[in-house]
Amino acid sequence: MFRRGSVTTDNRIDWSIIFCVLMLALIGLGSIYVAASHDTGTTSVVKAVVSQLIWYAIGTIAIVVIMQFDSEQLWKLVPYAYGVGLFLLFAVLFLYSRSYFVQTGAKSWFAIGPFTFQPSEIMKPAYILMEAKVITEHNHNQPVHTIRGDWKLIGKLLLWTLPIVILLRLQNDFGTTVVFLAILGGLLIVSGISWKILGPGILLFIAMVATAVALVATKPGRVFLGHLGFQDYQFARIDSWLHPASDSSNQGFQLWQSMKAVGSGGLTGTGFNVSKVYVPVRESDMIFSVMGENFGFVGGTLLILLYFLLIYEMIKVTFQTKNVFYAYISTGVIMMILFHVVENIGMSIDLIPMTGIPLPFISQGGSALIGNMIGIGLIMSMQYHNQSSMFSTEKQFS
Amino acid sequence: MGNFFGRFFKKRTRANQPELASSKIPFRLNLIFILVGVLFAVLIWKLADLQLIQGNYFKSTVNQTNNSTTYGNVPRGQIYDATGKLLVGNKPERAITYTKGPKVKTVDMYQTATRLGNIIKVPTDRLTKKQIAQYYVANPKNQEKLKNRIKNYAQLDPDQQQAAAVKLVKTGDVVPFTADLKNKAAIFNSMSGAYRLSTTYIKYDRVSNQEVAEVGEHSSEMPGVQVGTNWMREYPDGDGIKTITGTVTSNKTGLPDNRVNQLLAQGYSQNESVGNSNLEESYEPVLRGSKSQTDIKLNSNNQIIKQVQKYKGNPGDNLQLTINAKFQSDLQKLVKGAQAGGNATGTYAVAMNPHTGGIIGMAGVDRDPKTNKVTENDIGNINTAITMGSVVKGATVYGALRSNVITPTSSTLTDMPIKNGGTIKTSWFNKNGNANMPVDASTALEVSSNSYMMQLAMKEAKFNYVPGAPLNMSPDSFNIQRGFFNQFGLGVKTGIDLPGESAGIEGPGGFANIGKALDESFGNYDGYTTLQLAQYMSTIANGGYRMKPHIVQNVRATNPKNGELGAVKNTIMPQTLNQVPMTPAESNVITRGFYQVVHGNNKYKTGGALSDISPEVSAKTGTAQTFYNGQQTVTLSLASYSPSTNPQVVIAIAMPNLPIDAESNNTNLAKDIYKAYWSDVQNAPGK
Repeated sequence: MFRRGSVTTDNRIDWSIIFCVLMLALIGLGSIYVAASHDTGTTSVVKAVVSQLIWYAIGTIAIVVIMQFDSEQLWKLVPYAYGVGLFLLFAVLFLYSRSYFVQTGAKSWFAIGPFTFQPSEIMKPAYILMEAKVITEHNHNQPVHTIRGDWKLIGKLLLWTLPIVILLRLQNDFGTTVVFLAILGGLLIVSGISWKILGPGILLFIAMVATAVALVATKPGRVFLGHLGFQDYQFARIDSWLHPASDSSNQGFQLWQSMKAVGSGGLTGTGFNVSKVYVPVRESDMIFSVMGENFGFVGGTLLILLYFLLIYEMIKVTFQTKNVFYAYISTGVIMMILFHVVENIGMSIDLIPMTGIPLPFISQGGSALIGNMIGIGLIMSMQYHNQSSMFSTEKQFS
Repeated sequence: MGNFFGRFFKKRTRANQPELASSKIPFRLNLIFILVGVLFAVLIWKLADLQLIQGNYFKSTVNQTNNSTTYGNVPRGQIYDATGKLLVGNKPERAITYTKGPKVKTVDMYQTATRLGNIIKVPTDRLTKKQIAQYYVANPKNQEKLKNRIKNYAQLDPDQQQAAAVKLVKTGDVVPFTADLKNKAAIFNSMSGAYRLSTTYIKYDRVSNQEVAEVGEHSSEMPGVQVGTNWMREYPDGDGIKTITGTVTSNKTGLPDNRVNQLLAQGYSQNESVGNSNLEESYEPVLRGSKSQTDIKLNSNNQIIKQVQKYKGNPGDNLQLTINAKFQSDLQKLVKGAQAGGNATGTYAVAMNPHTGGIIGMAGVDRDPKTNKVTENDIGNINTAITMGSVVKGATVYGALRSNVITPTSSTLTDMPIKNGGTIKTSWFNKNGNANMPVDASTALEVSSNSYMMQLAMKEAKFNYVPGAPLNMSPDSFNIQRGFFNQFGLGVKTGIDLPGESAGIEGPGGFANIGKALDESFGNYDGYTTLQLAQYMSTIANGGYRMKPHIVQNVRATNPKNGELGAVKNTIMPQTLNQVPMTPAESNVITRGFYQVVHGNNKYKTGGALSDISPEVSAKTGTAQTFYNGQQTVTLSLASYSPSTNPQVVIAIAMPNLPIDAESNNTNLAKDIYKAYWSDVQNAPGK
């Protein structure tokens, strides 16, 4: 586990995080190249790869810009970021791209010409900032945790989450909602809330998941969930998850093709750009199938380890920070990336039901990438300003 | 906010309070890190399960391939006349085709149809409202718009949602059925009706140059759409031949409804052309040829990996008919021109080779007495049964000879009115008994004696005729007479190689109708087709062989060099259906009678009008008292062969329901037909 870190004064830039992101970017470009070369009918290969490269460039600029903000500036920025994010989430309900809606059933995309943009991706870092600020303020005002105080904190955190959940519900974007809840979960744990609340809470969560599975697996349960507003497509995803081979409809077909692609990769894979299995939307949500097919178990495991390394480095930076605000931010970012990775890879290999969630730094698509890069930017700014912060103390937390 | 921030941090800094150190963050962060490790381990475990444990299973699933075969159309065989003149050919027409890919979805077809609809115009007259609605709803955006107008939309499964949307659009309330919408819907309908990996015609008729150019230009935006060729039937010698050759279904009408399942089982596709009547139908397997076969290998994603043409296909073989096109065309004109007014219901004429059964010409028209409208119906010769009259008397005489009621040397009976109870039946020339005279069998044929034939029938049935006494004859008479008639083809199918032949009409028998048994003997009861007359006359002309009539002479390949008639692959050999047993002396009685009909010395001979035809004609005329719509009519017929000594052609004519004063229509037509025959088909022998 983490012990006292040592950061050299002149090492304000965390090269190991940059290394991880760079590797992921290369894997992403390669995978998009493979997907685009095998799936005719979509855009050209060059166009797919180049436009993704442009997004990396924009993302890199975002990192550099964010790194310039110190924690004080970030702190001031929070309400604006959250406000703008919320406004965009609201606006997209009316201005959503009709063609994306037809394809995905979710009203979560803006489209201006060829350029598409998903505001919820930008909302994620804004939300992390807001919740980090809320926790920091709360813990500062009530340094000693009491059960009553903890409930109050939970209430505040939920209050800032609620509008997002409502707006995402209106957008019909269940997958993204879960990401926000995962971030919230991570922050609840780190915020210092008593185990007397967390313990039963976690048990309750497990019980709810179990109940949910029981509900979706039975007919009356489904009728009940239907009254709560769950849609047919969500049930279909559960069905294909439970019986991947038996469902030839769109959902099941996608999953089964992905499983075939990954499964047929075997130990070492088919080799770069050798694909026998067509997986729908593998350039985005199903991109892990490319890696799994081309490079097999070895490649897939290395990719997972690369993510592990990235999260390890981020946690390491968090341990080295002297600033609680930063610590909460980085926890949020870690939770965001962790959830994306587990959900995306998990759904590609039939571990978790499908939701439309991209694989961080690899899936095609600009807004998700920018959202993740902003997250990286926040982590890097932490290290960048660690030494120079006027608030820094000699002591580090340990 | 900024102030607070400042205060908050400054205070902390000033107080030099290491907040993080005392917080629970490090421990809880470690918890999260453990969570990361656990989750990633689960991912790797599942990955190992999928790739290492089940890897081989998935590998074999992926390497599975499917084979499927596509069939390509080949040109249909052509039809030629006896002299090699092209009667039914193929003409290539430019067409817009669509090949459905293995992975095409409805929404893709919607897009393609919409784009194509902006470029080409297709007929929409057969389009249903449902099809229009299906097109509209194929666009998910359109379906989505209807969401609020459909009850419980969200609860329905996708199929039900679509069905409900189609139902709503069908009413026309949602979107007006404009010409443009219909056009696109018709195109969409053609596309969605096609099988995957098979090519269907979107437009195959009157495709303009502009349409071809635009489709070519935009084909990359419309996957599967191409400019192709459609083979249409053409009739270089005139459409008249169609009534014999029949027609093929168009791509538009598709396979005929009544045979669709059978044809699909034989490997036809839904919109394929298939012979639908007459020769095109009966020789379908020959004309169709064999389609090219391409094996397609699909991988587990239904993508085409490999295409191998296994079999090039063979164009359909050609038919060479026994029909002489020139004569056929003349015959059609003559038949058409021979119309009498009144209640006449048509004219039919067949020319047949008595030795082979080959049909040299066959023409017919139907006439509607109410409207005077005359419709070509060459096939009427085989499917219209007519009460022909005395023309059948040759068969009656044969029956008497075979029954030993008369013999070639002893056949004389007295022509006299036949009285049974109150009914009197007479020959045409002896209505009141003033012309009673002895006639032998040949003379009876020459003068067309009804009395003689009735007496033969009564003798055959072993009925002892007493003038004025009731006709207590055995009803076996019907069977006896019909048995003999059948041997000549009268009252049985001739066996011609065309579908839809009639066996004639048999009147009710039994003792209640016993009077009709006498009518039967002189042809005034049962109905026969004109072709049956021809077969009957051929059997007499060739000495007793009932030949199977046929209209196809040869099946011939296509000459690969010039595309014209090629090698003979199969010749239809003359086929004897049955031999009518008769001695030369017996045969002679009948042929002599038929000769005398035209060339005899008796003043009552009935065919004298034909005596100036060269070469000589032997014939039997027929006159039947008939009724049309309750009005009395007369049906004239004629069966003949020529030359009398060495018959080469049989000509049979039927003209039902002429006005009652008509008498020479049949012989006049026969004269013209013989003239046309000798000039069109061959030069008269001995000339």
